[in-house]
Amino acid sequence: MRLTDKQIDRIADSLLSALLKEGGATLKSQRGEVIARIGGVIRENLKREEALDREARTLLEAHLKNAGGDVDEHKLLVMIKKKLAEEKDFPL
Amino acid sequence: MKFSEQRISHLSHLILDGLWRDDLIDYEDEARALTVLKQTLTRLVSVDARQPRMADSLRQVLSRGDGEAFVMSRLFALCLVGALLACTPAGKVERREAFQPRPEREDLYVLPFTRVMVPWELNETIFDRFVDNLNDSALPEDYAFTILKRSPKDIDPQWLGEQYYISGEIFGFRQESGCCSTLLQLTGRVRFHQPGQDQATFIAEYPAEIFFDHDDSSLEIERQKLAAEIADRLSRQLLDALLGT
Repeated sequence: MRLTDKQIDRIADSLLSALLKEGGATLKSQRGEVIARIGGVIRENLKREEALDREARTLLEAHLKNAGGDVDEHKLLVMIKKKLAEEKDFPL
Repeated sequence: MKFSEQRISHLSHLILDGLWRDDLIDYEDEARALTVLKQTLTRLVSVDARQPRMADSLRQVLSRGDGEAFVMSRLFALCLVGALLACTPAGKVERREAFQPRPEREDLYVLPFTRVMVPWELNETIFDRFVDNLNDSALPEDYAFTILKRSPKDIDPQWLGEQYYISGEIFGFRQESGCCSTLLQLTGRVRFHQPGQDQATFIAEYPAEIFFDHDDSSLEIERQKLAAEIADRLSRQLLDALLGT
């Protein structure tokens, strides 16, 4: 999933608003700082997924080089990605 | 791909813990805060955060009640964006000097398309539709497009070199899914070969892409649309060339 910085900030802002309005939370710092922290968590999570994607593609290419054959590469890529995510305890 | 329930839960925990650890926020009731985070995140990732919809933008403009000039300028901008989004990739067509329209022979052979990292069902749809289009075409009825149901390596190259035939490749498949939308990209290329020519005398290439909201359509439908678009475009370009139009 790719989101721009602006979109991530928008999500972070909405999450904070919901926390304050409905979640019974109170700010202990500047609103901007809290939004930045939430955005950071989301960015980090998306970066992990991107890294997982890259690793899965590398493994797929290695597999295709060695095994070849008529396989559905996309399905295989999804399977590899799922397997890697399980190993790394990263929910997709 | 949408965020799974587990991922939403995982992210909500990370946010909740991160804010508390950095002493940025106080929770009256941690469980309640977590529930709100999960609910809000679920709502946010099921609404497209990437592409504000044109209809929504239009609604916003109209609901503002601003002056007519402002509304018109916004409408113009929206239409411009719409037109740009509607632009399809141009593709490439190459006719070599030796290309000869309106083949004299009745039989034109079509080799199965090769595919490079492309789901087989897409290749199948493109190939079948491409051949159907050719056979339903406006070419004189005495032309027959015959599928050579063999791999090119099993065909006698000398015999093939004396035929009119079409080959093709499908490649460049890309599927990038976010929480709420997906971008699909795929390229098709066909080559027309004439007897006595070492190389194809006509080549058409068409890169297609589709972007869709998960709320509006499904991956299966959009993949088929993408395949159909490529098949239709390539068959049209080849027919135009063969008919000399």
